Amino acid sequence: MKRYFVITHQPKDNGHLNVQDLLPASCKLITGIAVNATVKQSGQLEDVTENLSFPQALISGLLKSESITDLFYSYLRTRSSEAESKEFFESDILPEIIQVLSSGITYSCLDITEQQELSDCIAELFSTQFTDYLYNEVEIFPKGQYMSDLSFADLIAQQTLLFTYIKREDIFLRTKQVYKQPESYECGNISLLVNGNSFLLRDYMLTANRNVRHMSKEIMPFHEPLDVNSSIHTVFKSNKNSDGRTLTLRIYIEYEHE
Amino acid sequence: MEKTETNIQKLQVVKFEVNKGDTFEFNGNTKTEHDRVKGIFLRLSNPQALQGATLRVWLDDTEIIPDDTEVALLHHNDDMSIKDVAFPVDEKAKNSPVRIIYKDNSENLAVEDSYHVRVYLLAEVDKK
Repeated sequence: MKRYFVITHQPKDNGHLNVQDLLPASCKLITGIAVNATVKQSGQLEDVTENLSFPQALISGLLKSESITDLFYSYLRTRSSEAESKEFFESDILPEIIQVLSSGITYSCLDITEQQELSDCIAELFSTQFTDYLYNEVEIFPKGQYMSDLSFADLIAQQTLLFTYIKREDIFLRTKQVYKQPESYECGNISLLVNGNSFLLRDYMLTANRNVRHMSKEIMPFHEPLDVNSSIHTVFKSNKNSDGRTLTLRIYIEYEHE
Repeated sequence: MEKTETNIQKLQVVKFEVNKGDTFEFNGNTKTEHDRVKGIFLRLSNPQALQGATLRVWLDDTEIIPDDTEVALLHHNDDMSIKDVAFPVDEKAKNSPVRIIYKDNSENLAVEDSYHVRVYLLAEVDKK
């Protein structure tokens, strides 16, 4: 059965290291070694804009709610002129759409102020751009004259969804602060010797703060039979890149245990 | 090897919450109906906390993961299958004690932030 043993060293003041550690008595055969170096340093914050997922089902659901569907009746499309229809849309229908969408679209990951900002953003976008979009780009008035009430209501609902989707990158996002992962850098060379004569590693370049993978991928296989009470000698030559930050070296020793 | 494949594989999950800078000690037992624990791996709800976190694990009163082992070495990445990622162990299950000491020493977390740790024990039930 494989067992593991960890040796931790913290060279001070960017310095070199030359130490000897006793291996566990049951360690008679080293089967692998992994070495890792980390530097503890305060993480820096940076602003990251993250997209929220687009709530398509939610919007379709909201548009089917009664307060909205009742509005899309023929009155709008049977107005005698486009200007009149537009005026009616802006005064009666649009505020209702805005109200339903801005109060209906909520995200649990947002706090109260962020949620309010999102609602305001939806309201702002619809009140300034949606009428123009419907009447100029979709040309809802000429199109609507030859439609049944039902398909007309459907068209407005679809266009509302489409408009929200086109503008999704302006609305559905949040800014949050995340910590930057410290940069990785080469911090020095390490040599490992068993009983002061047999090299396991020799001038192995150590990279601090690198992304550590899973143990099975980190272990370098060895086959090193040992006497009882063997010791391991660690020689670390710092290249002075650590700038006074405390470096933590961890040496993982995988060994066979009966 | 063939025997292993015929056995039924089960999973036991141990979940706990860790606050930034805290040491959490979990004491529990493996499930009575599981016969052997074959592997262990874990996942953090916030992978940013990996940097600086260490743990120590005992199974059936045997120290299988020594003190000061970095959590990153046992963490399940999205690009690895459970079979590859499980840290191989072979200890008796059957209601034997599990002890986990998890130390958070991360710099990369906000003050008073906390996250969930799930430790998965890959167990086997012998076919009768």
